[in-house]
Amino acid sequence: MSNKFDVIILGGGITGMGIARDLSMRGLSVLLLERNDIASGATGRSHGLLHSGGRYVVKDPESARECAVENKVLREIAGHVIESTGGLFIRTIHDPVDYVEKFERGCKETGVLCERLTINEILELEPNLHRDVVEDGFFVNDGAVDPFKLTLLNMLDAMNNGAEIFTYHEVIDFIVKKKQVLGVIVRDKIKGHLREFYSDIIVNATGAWGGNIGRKLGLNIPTRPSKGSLIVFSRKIFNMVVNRLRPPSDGDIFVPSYSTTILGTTSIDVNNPDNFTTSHQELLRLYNEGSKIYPELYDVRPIRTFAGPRPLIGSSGREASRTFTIIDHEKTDELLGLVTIGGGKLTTYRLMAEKLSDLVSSKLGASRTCRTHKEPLPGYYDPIEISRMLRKSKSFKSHALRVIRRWGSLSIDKALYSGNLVCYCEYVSSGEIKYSIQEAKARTIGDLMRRTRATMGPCQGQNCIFKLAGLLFDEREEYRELFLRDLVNHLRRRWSNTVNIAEGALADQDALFLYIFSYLGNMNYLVRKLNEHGGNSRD
Amino acid sequence: MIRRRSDVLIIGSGAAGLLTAYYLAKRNISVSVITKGYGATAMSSGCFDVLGMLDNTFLESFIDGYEQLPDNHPYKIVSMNKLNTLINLFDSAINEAKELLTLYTGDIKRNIKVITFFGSIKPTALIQKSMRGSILHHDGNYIFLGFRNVYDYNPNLQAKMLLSFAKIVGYTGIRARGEKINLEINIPSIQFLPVLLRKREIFERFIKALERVMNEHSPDSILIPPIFDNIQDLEEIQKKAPLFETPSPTPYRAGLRLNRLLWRMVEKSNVPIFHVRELKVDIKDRAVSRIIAISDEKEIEFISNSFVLATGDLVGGGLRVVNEDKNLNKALIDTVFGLKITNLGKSAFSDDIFDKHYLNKFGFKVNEDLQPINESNTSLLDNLYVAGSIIGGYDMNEEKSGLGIPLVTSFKLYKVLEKELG
Repeated sequence: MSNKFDVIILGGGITGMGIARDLSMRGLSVLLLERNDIASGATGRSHGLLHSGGRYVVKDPESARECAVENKVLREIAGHVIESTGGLFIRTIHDPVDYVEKFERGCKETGVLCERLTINEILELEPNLHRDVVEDGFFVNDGAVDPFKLTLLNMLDAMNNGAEIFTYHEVIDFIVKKKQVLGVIVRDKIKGHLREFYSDIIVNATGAWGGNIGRKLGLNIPTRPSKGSLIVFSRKIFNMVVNRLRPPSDGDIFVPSYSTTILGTTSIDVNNPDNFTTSHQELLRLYNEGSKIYPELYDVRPIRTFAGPRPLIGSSGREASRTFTIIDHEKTDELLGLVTIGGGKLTTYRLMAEKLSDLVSSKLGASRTCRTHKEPLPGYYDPIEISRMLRKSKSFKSHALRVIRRWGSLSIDKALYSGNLVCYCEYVSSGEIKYSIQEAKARTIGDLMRRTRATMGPCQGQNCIFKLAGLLFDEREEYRELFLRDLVNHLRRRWSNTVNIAEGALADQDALFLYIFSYLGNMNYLVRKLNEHGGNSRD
Repeated sequence: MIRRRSDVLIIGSGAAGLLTAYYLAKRNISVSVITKGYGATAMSSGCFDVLGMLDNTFLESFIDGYEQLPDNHPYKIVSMNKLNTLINLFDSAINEAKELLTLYTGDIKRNIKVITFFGSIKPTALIQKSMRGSILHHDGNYIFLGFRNVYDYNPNLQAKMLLSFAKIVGYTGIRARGEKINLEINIPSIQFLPVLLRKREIFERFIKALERVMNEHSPDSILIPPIFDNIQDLEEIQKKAPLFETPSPTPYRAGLRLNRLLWRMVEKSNVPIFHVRELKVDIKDRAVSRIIAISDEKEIEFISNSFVLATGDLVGGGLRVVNEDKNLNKALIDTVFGLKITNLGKSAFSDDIFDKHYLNKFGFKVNEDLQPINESNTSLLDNLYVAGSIIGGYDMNEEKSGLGIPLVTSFKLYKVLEKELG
């Protein structure tokens, strides 16, 4: 492999991966470098809402317009990883009455489809809503999309088009000559050595981490990471996405995701985009607001919390526009060979990638145009094919259905239903795990989680973490030296995201977790001893 | 409504509840046991750990750590702060339950280091006989045995883990490796193995593979998790090969085996065990007057002089963390009487899984007679007693003091109740 490319993309979130797909489809040679795993930053820490645009029609019409258009496009190219749940905007007795009219007008102006419903219609659609507080509402075209899978499918397609994707490669420095960025020096975090790569142009798609990248070049890229925290509950609470009909604020959205429900979101400006902790105050806010439309919320078993940084650029917090920004550093800093993209939504990633790729193409004098909206992502299938696919998959139906839901027709093409079950909560078999390791660049337990949902169920990996480590151990030689660190890090991360809400069954589960790993496995002893020897720094 | 009278009603069928019932029944005290399930003993590794570690250091015996234990530790309380009393209690607890020794080997006063399912090393006192090859020796040559295309565990990873552990505990002469054998049959999970091995041709393939492993590596022990329902199946194999079980968590069988043995011991002593669903508790004049339970769609009224709560901790289901208010402040309660044990504040556990956990030390505060008491040392209910891990004051994860607590508290409680009931 040559170390010279047309374009190097930094950042393996949905934006970077969308750009990798777009540019490689245009015939350019592309290298994508990601510090950790794909979708391990803001992308994988979102609620996975496929926006109708409704959320932004009043305050942020440009973003609403983008969402409305891209919502349709994504259903055409990635329908197999989208749940067409539909969405509701509910005005409760706690919400401003005058927002209803603004919302309806905003929808009309931005092209966001909406339909006003009577109280009875709303309660018929969502009988779990608190009857005493619902006053008014609209139906919109919201949906749920798996952010990990969307990123992964973009990666697979980019690779099919010749793009190189290197995960666990961290940018150490840039190679600059006379105001022109020529390449990057990166560290392979798994093997430990440094590598150099060159390109005509580098795309900084590191989102909330864009400022950190800019500092290596002496640039001031005004990223304003805004932390959003969310809670995952162990079952479906609503059939649809349920939004509060009011200006966006904390705890006002429930998104159904597979068999779980995600309640979001908070918004707190943070200096460090790597701050993934959820504070007690944030939890109180989420519970307090969420229970206004679903009072039984305190009795639903939570699974975990998570938090991620919104990749905002320019202004901060709730005030910042959710549309995206492209910075051409040739114009702003007289630095050739670097462009930065930030902001935007998961829903609009393809549009962002198209605009950025147009700019890169024109700089490189490439003539081909964007086709990402015309060609579906890998695994796309016609829904009428589902019964034929079920017949072809040689597993039991509830397993086969889940694999198809996760991978579309790839589940048949790659026989992902094969092998013995590894994760019993989410029904993941060894075929799916091995494919993820061999062809989809899974290198750690967390990577397998993002690709297959293994460890995401109610037991949070208690039964399968060791099995996943074992599969990685056999499939990848370098993992044999890493497995202990990976296991320890994974247990720590998983733990810190559940203990802050641990009560009832979740607390019992956590106690069992401790019993198995710390007591019986004696890993608390091992970890402390390794710390004493300085051999196991926290990641 | 059916009425049942007994001198003692025991709630919970884990090690603590069943042992208490067993000791009492042997002295002809009438006992009934009610239970909602099988308890956490069935989920344990099946080893009796008494006191294996303090301050992250292995102990040679519980005797070595005794003085360092806090005064509210169950071991200190049952022995009234005298080491000799504790030693006697443990000796008597074992001697009076001799049937346990059909399954176990070891010395309650001497800790051994065993190799677990994870490839880790953990201290314990009594192990099941089927596990005797999992004892760690300085120059041991161990093979972890796995099966091709079975992912319940990975013998190569376990071997690597054992070598990491052995280095830390200073056992430098150890050899370990993993071997995956192929039985040319689909094994969905190794728990199917005992059933599969009943087929002659599969059993022969298994023995052949074992022989190959033995000839190639001449190991001291070939280790697998406890998967045999019938221990005779394993003993049959052990005539030909040094195949041993490792202490393993649920869903493997060692804990279940112990639970079943205790269950049989109790039933043989003519103690009735009732599976019940809901429980209703009647309290009069600061004492439990009766418990009404629904069993097999029938209501049964249990009337007793003394009531024993042996329902376990969070894992067993005897304790529960609840949100006390909308500020998500937490409290620890018991699940039968709803007695509040303590406020936990915002979080029950530490942020780091490998730290010490605040919650672990909590459970009922008890007096010398194993009666739950309040802050001013008066009993909560006059005729209520507790045994096992529902008692607070100790941290099982730090001390590796799992089944030692139920063993000694149930024996002590039997002594208390025997005196009480004359």
